[in-house]
Formats: sequence, structure tokens, C-alpha cells
Amino acid sequence: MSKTISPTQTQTAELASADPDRRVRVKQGVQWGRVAAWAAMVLLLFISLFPFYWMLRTALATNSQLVNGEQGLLPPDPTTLNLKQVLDLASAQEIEEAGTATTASINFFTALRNSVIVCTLITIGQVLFCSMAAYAFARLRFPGRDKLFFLYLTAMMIPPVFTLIPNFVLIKNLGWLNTIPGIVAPFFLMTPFAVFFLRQFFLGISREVEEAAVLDGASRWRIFRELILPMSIAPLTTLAVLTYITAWNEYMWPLVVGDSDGVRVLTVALNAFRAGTPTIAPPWAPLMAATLLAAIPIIVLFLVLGRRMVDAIGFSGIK
Amino acid sequence: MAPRIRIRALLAGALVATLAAGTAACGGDDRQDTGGPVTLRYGLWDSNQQPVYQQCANAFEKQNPDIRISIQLNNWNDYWGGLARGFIGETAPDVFTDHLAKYPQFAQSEVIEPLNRYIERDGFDVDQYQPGLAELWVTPDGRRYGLPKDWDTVAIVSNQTKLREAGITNEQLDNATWNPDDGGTFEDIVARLSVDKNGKRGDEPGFDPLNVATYGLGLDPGGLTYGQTTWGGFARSLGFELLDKNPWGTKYHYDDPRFIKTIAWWRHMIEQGYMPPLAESRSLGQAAMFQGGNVALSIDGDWMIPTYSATEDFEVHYHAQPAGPEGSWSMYNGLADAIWVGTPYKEQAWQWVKFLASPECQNIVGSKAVVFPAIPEATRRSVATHRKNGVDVSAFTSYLENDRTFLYPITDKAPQINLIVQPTMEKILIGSESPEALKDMNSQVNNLLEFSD
Amino acid sequence: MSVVGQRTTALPGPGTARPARRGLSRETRAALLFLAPSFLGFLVFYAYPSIRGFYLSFTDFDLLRNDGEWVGLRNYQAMLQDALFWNALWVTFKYVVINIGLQTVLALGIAVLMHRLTRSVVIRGILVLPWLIPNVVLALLWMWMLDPNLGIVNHYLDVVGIGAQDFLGSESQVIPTIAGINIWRHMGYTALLLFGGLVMIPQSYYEAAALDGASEWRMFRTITLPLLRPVLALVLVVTVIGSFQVFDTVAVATGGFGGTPGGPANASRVMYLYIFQQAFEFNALGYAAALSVALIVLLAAVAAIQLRLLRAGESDLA
Repeated sequence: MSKTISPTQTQTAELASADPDRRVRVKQGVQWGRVAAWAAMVLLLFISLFPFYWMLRTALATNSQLVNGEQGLLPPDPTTLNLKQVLDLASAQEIEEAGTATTASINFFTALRNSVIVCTLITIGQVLFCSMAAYAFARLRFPGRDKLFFLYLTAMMIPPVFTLIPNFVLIKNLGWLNTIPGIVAPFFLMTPFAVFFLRQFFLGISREVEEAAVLDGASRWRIFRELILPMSIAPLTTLAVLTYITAWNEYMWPLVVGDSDGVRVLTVALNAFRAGTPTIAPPWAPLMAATLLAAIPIIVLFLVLGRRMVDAIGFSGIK
Repeated sequence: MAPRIRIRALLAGALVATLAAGTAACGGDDRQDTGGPVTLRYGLWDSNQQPVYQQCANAFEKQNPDIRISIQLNNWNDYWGGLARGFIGETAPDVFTDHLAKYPQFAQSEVIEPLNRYIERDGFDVDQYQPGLAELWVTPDGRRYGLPKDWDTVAIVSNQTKLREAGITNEQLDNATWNPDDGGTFEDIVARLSVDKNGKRGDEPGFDPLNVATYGLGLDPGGLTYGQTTWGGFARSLGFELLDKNPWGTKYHYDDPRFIKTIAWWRHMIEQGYMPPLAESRSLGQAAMFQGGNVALSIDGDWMIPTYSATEDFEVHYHAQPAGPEGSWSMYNGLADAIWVGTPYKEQAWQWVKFLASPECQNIVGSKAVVFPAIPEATRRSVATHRKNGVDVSAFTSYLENDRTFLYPITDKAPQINLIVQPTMEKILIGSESPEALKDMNSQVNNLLEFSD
Repeated sequence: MSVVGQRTTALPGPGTARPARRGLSRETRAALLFLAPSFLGFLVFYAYPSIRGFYLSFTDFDLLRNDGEWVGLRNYQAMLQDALFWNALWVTFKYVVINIGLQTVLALGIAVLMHRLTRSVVIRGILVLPWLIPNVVLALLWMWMLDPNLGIVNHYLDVVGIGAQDFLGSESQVIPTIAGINIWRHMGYTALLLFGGLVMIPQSYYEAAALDGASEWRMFRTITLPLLRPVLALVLVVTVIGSFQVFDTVAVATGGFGGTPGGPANASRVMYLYIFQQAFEFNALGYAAALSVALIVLLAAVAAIQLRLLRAGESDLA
């Protein structure tokens, strides 16, 4: 790794300086361009991170400090009361004294469990069924294939608000309102993006291995399971990560079909919590504590998966 | 690694998760299979009112052992969206608190139950309420969609410390006059109460309207369409009527010169630095700014008394709105309880609505001093309770005694009209449109109303 | 859309469909099985609701009444005369231009920085972090940070001497502010997508260019950009479509605590929000469906133009 760095360094220096005489400069040894590039990077990192720090700082302050315009970079008097309130661990009296009483509890752990169940189901279903479909589109010959694929793609253009009501009515008729299956259903079998994404990848897999297997009399299903899928671990992981995060962040659909105690996912529970706050004095401190807690699971997942997750996202741009 | 994907294992995992989800979802419908008492869901948006209606529910359950009441609270912003989803998804509350701005559409879409036949059958007395309240809930075809539970008016709330510092007495504020040309003594008071960051008052030379520490008067940024807690009482005190007839008007009068002048005065107050700009009011809201000492006076409804009177840092008084040429006026509004047409328990729902509208429940509400109940006797109790708590609410009741109330405007297409009027009013208050734009806006509104089917 | 399907992928010759022979071939039957679950999902959750939505756009369907009558083209005629529709289009357009313009440039810059400065996973991870968090959460967070009275941003603007801004409360600033929030959320993610394309470019090209004494800017222009184009095209199409459908941030952040979203004074009433309000506040499902159809037509047109302009299919890398 270290060997490749030196040419890169000079190039970066040139990039950032954008100076006609850059080569002379670089030879002087002071790599101002590189310094500037790093400065830009540090600034970007700061911009990305600071709001999260502010969320944390707000969550640890008392509401009255906030309303009085306390703006110090550190909470003057850190308190865990807001976090406790969100987790239902604070007594009513404490909350009353802090002036942050709300009518709705976020039921954090229930919501967390629901989010995990919903996202896991969606990810498993979508990756499995879309990889099957993608395989058929990429590898199998059948009449009307390209037309059907085109249809799938046009579905990508359809704004969710357009299909929201008919889907809502369908879920209602199935008796799935306010159930986990109702929240999962529209994403479980396919999304156009997932099919498109995996097809792109399957197209790139060498045909020869597969044809050899066909000659050996292997069934398509066996080929798919024992050849194609193992070769596609990387894009499948990518898709799984993307699907999981997208499902985690989904708001409108679970709000519409699953806004009742017991089935709320985190985003909806957070909204219910916000809706339960009085309109007169927004209790920012507990609200930020709630947003912080809602963000933590994904951040933890991120810390655990780290490199794999980053690689997975970067991968999705490659066709 | 040798990744042999075990699809069966994955599917098994999915199945287990679904089963787990199934148990999680069971909470959703707890009403179907129980042979025990019927549980009615009752929708409410004001958290201040939940405790007293819980008391009513307890009393009701004692008398009706086979009915249980479960109160569902949702903040105003999410209340109506949740109701709409409930109507379509057939999960709406069986009984819910309804608002005059919303019920015409519910009636038109037939999602709320007309109460006429129940009222006739039980010989229920609809004349026991404060005059005018019950008739608000009758559509032109004679159907009655709610029984009044409370009423409200609007008054000026004052921060006594700020008043003292400015050398203004409560009597001065009680007897303030107003007109849209020079603002009357009311504008003088508000100016005096405004203080900039250098400590200069609004009526002193050198007052900096762009750096104000305390605004004399607060601004409620929502609801500019009907101006319940803003221009409503002021414009009416000039003799202005928004509708050709109310309820069920067919023409709006937003182009009336008296109205245009009133709004111009409102904007003038913001420009002078006597009132906070719209953006600032939106972020905190009027009541929070008042409690934080950023505004000295606010214009608000009696439903906010519990919030204002709980202020700890200073004393709070209530005053009738300033008197215009026609005296001191207030908008007069009330809530009612409605029955969802899709409830499987219509009879039980009616029993509960009837109880909510009865002296028994309204006296409970009155004795708690949260809102003014619709029955006069219960109103008196409420006033007495307030007095016992050291709160003088006569400002709110004065309008009824002097017969200076006007009703909340009721027409078709209220949400659509709101989408035209509110943005225009915001533009005027921000300063990006002149008050003359109201003329154009009025013809849009009337067009919309005329061509609605 | 066919362009995406066919051109970007360079279908291998033998893959094209043949006319059906007598009965179903073994392969066709296999394909049916492979496609069955996703096709069910497509029919139930995409095709049927879309057709139904299209039909509804010719009715005066009322959401609460759950009923409506055929009114022909009336919704579309009303739309053309609806000032709020044109306003929504204009507001959305402004948003898309600011959002996509800045975001693409920034993301490209970040991707190149990542590519040339460091391969650190930690840095990439931090930059992509905002994208991992739900929109609703971030909208609340920014609403708090940008609060005119209590927000930290205005506090420092005041300290620096610029003076407090209204941001979400100002007619002229609200759309740039919303665009800024979403740029903040997406720039790292978009950069990572582009970065994925950058690492595919053989290092030897740069080395050769460096030997020739080419400047970094010239290498960017002659190597990076052309070779990145297919990825860039894909990213642009996806982000533009997403950008036209901006909703969550506007819905949460512009309402304040007590107002209705879309303000001040219609300045942030984007298309998607207007459709949502027509459907769920006015219960005018028929009209909302007509607005949606207009949005779909617009999206399709924009995507088609983009793909043509960017010649997305031609991969210079291969």
C-alpha cells in the first residue's frame, strides 16, 4: 500500500493547487496542495459529524437550558434524564419537573424489535426473490423477456404516493392493517431496483461454467443455487445492506399501515412521540434524545460491519 | 469461505420472524373476540383535556359496566390525518372530538353519523347549551352531527412583570381602544411594552425594530385564514363580517376595505418591531415566546389557560380584546363529539356522546377548570373553580354577557380555501405581497366556493 | 426507460428472446418459476395500483366517501389552471436544480479526494453516515439546528457577524435550505457510488499520464470523467428521480411546530407534498392521481433526456 502512495501524493498536490506552476512547487517539497486537500477533507468530515455531535449534546442537556438559549459546545450540566424518558425509565415526577411531559411514549424497545423484524423480513425476501428474477432476466431465454424487463423498469418511475392508496386498500382487505406482514408485504417480493441491480451483475458472470453444468444435466435451480449465488456474494451483500437501510428509513408506508401500539417501527414511533408533544414549547431535549436513540442501532450496525458496509455501498455504483 | 447459501434456512428464519411478528401484531385488534364489555375508542387532541375526560369516562363506566372507554390522544397536526386513515382503514375511533372547520367535509363524505334519530328517540334536550352552540353542528339539510361539549373565546394575556416595568396598569389594558388607522391606545401600550436589545422602548426615539428583545404583542402564526387568535376580534370590532351568512356562507369578504386595513395594521406592527416576524413565531409558537419573556402580551383562547396560568416566573392576567368602534369582540367556537359511521357499536357510542354532552360530565369538566363546558351551569362552575385557583377569567366570559361574540366561519371547502388564504396572509405579513393582494385572493376563494359541486 | 434496460447492459447475443416454439421449452418453464414470486409482487403492488391510479385520475374519487364518478379529462383541465400546481412544479424544479447541481459536484469532488488521498474506511464511513439515518430524524435534527431563536447555526452566524437567518422560515431560503439538508445527507453516499466507479479505472492510465507530465486537472478531464461516465449517468438518473420526489424533509421540517408544511407561503410546497395534501387533506384522490400522472410523465421525460445527453450506454471503459 505505502508504495503506491507517493505518486498519488504529488498528483493530489497538483489537483488541489490548480496552479500552472504546480510541478515546480511540488519539487520544492512543501505540498501545499495536499495540505489544502486534506483541509477540505477534514472540513467535510466535520460537516458530516457535527450535527450528530449536536444531537448528542442536545440530548444530554436539560430542556430549560435549551429554551434559554444555552449554546455552549458542552452541555453545562449533562443529564441522562431525556434518554431515560425516551426509554420509559424516568419517573413522571422527574419529567414533570423538567417540563417535558408528553402524552405518547415511544416504546423504544418494541419499536426497535419491530424495525428489526420488518427489515430482516424485507431483506431476506427481496434479495432472494429478486435474485431469482434477475437470474431469469439475465440468463434464461423465454418469450417476452425484454418486454417484461422493461415493464419492471418503468415501475421504478412510479412515485410511491401513486400506489399508496390502492396498496393501502389491499392491505386493509387482507386484514393486515396494523400487522407486521402488512408493513412488509409491498417490499417482500420485489422492488424494480433490486432486480435491475442484480441482473446487471449476473450478466457479467461468465457463461462457460454455467453451460458446462447444463451439459452435466444440472437443473436451473441447482445452477442458480450452487453456482450463481456463491459467485455473487459481493453484490448480494451490497443489495442486502442497501435494502436493509432503505427499509430501516422507510417512513410513509409504515406510517399509513402500521401506526398503532405494538407494530410501530422506529421512524413511526418517533413521529408518534413528536406528535404527542405539546405544540406550545417543543421539548427539544427529549426529542433529540429520541432521535439519537433511533439513530444508534444503525450506527452500531455500521461500526460492526464497518468496511464491509462501506464497500457494499461503493459497489452498487459499479455495473 | 465457502458460501453455500442455505435458502431453506433463510426461509425458515423468515417464517420464525413472521410468527414472532404475528404475536407482536396481536395488540392491534383486541376488540373482536372478547365476550366481555365493549371497548369504545375515543379520539381527543388536547392533552390538557385528557385527565378530565378520563374522569368522565370513569363515571360513565361505573354507570355502564358493559362499556369501557379507551382515550386515544393525538396532537392536532396528526389528529386529522390519523382520522382519515382510520375512516378508510376502518380503524377510526368510535367517537371523536370534532371541529367546526372539519365536520362539513366529514358530513359530506358521510363518515360521521347524524344524531337526529337518537335525539328524537331519547327526547334529548339540545337547548340546554349556551345559545347558538348546538346549531353550529346542523347542516343545511337539517342533520345534526354533534352535541356541544365546550365553548371558547379569545382574550389578551399579559405578563404582569412586563406591564409593571412599562408603567402600564391592568385598567389601561382592560379599557384599551383600537382602530386600524393609528392603532388606538392599544398600539401605544404594545409599543411601550416593546423593548429592543439596548433597552430602548418602542415609543422612544432610537428604538431598533430589527433587534428586539421583547415584543409587545405575540403572533400566532397558524390559523391566519380565520384569524381566531389574531385578526378575528379586531376586524369584527370594525363591523366586518367575513361571510355573507354564517354558518354555511356562500361568499367570503376578504376584499372588504375594513379587513384589508386590519391586516395592513398587523403588518405595520411587525415592521415596527412591536410584533415578532412570522419566522420567529413559527419556530417557538406564541405561548412559548410568552413564557420565555420574548413577548409581553399574547392573544389566545381559553383552552390555553392551564398552560398560561402554570407560568412560574411571573404573574399572568387576562383582558378582553381592545374595543374597536363597535366594542370588544371575540370569535366564539365550540367543539362537539361525533360518532364514526363505521363503528360496530353505534348504540354504545351514542350513550357515550350523550353522557359527554350531559350536565353530569360537563359539571366534572367545569369543576376542573380546563375548558368552559357548553352547559351554562357547568360554565359557572368552571369560572368559580378558576376564581378559587386565583385566576380571573371574566375576560373570556365578558363577550357572552355583552353579546359580542361571532361564530367560527363555516363553509364548504374549508381546507382548500385555507390553502389559498393562509399562504397569501403569510406573504403579506412577511412583506412580499401588499395587503391589496387580498382582493385578488378573495375572488379566487369565491370562485372555488361557487364552482364546487 | 428502454434505454436503461438495453443499452447500459450490452446484452450478449444469444440472450435475446426467440419466438415461442410449440409448447413451453424447459427453459421457459424454469424462467416462469424463477420469476413467479417477483412477478406476483410486481402485479399486486406495482401494476395493479398503477392502473387503478391512472383510472382514478379520470374520476372525482373522494377518499373518505370511498366513491367517485367518471369525469373524463376534468381533473387534467383543472390542473392546467391550478396556480398551486404550477407553483409546485416551479418549486420542485428549483429544488432539483440546486440539489442535483451542488450534490453532484460535491460528490464528485469527494470521490476524487477519497480516491487520491486515502482509502481509509473510517473516513468513507463518516462521510456516508448521514445517509444511514432516516430522513425524518435528520429533518428534526436540522430543524433544531436551524431554529431562528435557539439554533446553533444562527448562534454562530450571529457570533461571526453575519447575523441570524430565517432559513426554513424564509420564502427565499427555504428551498435552498431543504436542498442543503439533503445534499448534506446524500453527498457522502453519492461520492461512494462514484468512488466505486473510480476504483475500476486502471491505475496505469494515471501513471502513464503522470509520466507524460499531465496535470491533475487534465487527468481528471481526459481520464476520470470519460471513464466514469456510465457510472455517473446511472447515479444521476437515480438521484434526479429521487430528487423530484422530495417529501419527507419538507413534510417534517417546514411545518414548524403547529403549522402545515409547504410554507412559508407555498414556497416549499413541492409536487410530492402537494399530491399528498390533495389526497390526504382534501381527500381529492382523483385529482391527486392526475397530479401523480403528470409527475410520472415528467420523470420519464427527464430520464429519457438525461440518458440521451449522457450517452449512458456507451461504456468507454470496456
